[in-house]
Amino acid sequence: MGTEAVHPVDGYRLDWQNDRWVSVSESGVVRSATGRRIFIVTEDGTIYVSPRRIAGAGRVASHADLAGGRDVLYAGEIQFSGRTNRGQIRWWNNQSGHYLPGSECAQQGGMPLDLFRPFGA
Amino acid sequence: MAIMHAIDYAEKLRDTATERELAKKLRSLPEEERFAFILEMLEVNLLVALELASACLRRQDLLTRLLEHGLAQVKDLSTIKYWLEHLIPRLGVRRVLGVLREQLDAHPFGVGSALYHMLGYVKKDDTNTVDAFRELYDEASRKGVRLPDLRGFFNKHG
Repeated sequence: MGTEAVHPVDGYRLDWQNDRWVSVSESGVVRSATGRRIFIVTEDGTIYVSPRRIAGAGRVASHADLAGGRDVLYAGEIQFSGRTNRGQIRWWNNQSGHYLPGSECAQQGGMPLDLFRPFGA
Repeated sequence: MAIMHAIDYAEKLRDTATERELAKKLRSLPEEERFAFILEMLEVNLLVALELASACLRRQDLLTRLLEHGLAQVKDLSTIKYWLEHLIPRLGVRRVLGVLREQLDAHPFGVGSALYHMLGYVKKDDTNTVDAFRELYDEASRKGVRLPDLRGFFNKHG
């Protein structure tokens, strides 16, 4: 589609631990996942997430920023539950203007398919 | 009220309460001044600026100018989705498609990236809107704008 400006962001690894989704920072800090996030899946199947709004930076994160040059298997957005039910996915999709992942490949997203909402279907 | 400048809020935009207070202050200004402040805020914090626009601008011409500004500014394939998220509820899908058509020649990259994200807003059972979307996509394609492949969508809904 074109040449994009990429500003790498520090993503968090998304893991399933003790019946909840958690984000794990590079230094190992584990937090229950909450809010709206963008995600990418790298070729080894690891899911990385980032807030859409980068705290303190005044800008938003793109999938290309989150990938930081890594090869990407799948990408989209995830909505986690809020305060009372943190760590649970409400829905996720394949909305990525950069990678344009097909909904038919949703299993590559690595998250529950019953919560997958195909973008623009 | 003293003139407001977005840069004065750069370090304060940490919580929704601050942002709500800012919106309240902004609503006390004439709408042209709100717009000028929002343009400044775009340089400080994109999402806060768009949230303020959604909350504080009423005039369709100013909301349209803001979208045009966004189409001119975007340098990647994702950021336009935030503009659309905040401005489509205020302008409506058909009006936004009209703006995209008007801006196609001036800002083909912005329009091309917006077309993908419009998929999330075009109601598939609204044939007039689907037709308008398809016409714009075809026009952009004829003009050589780099576009995502939306043939699957149009084959299914067109």
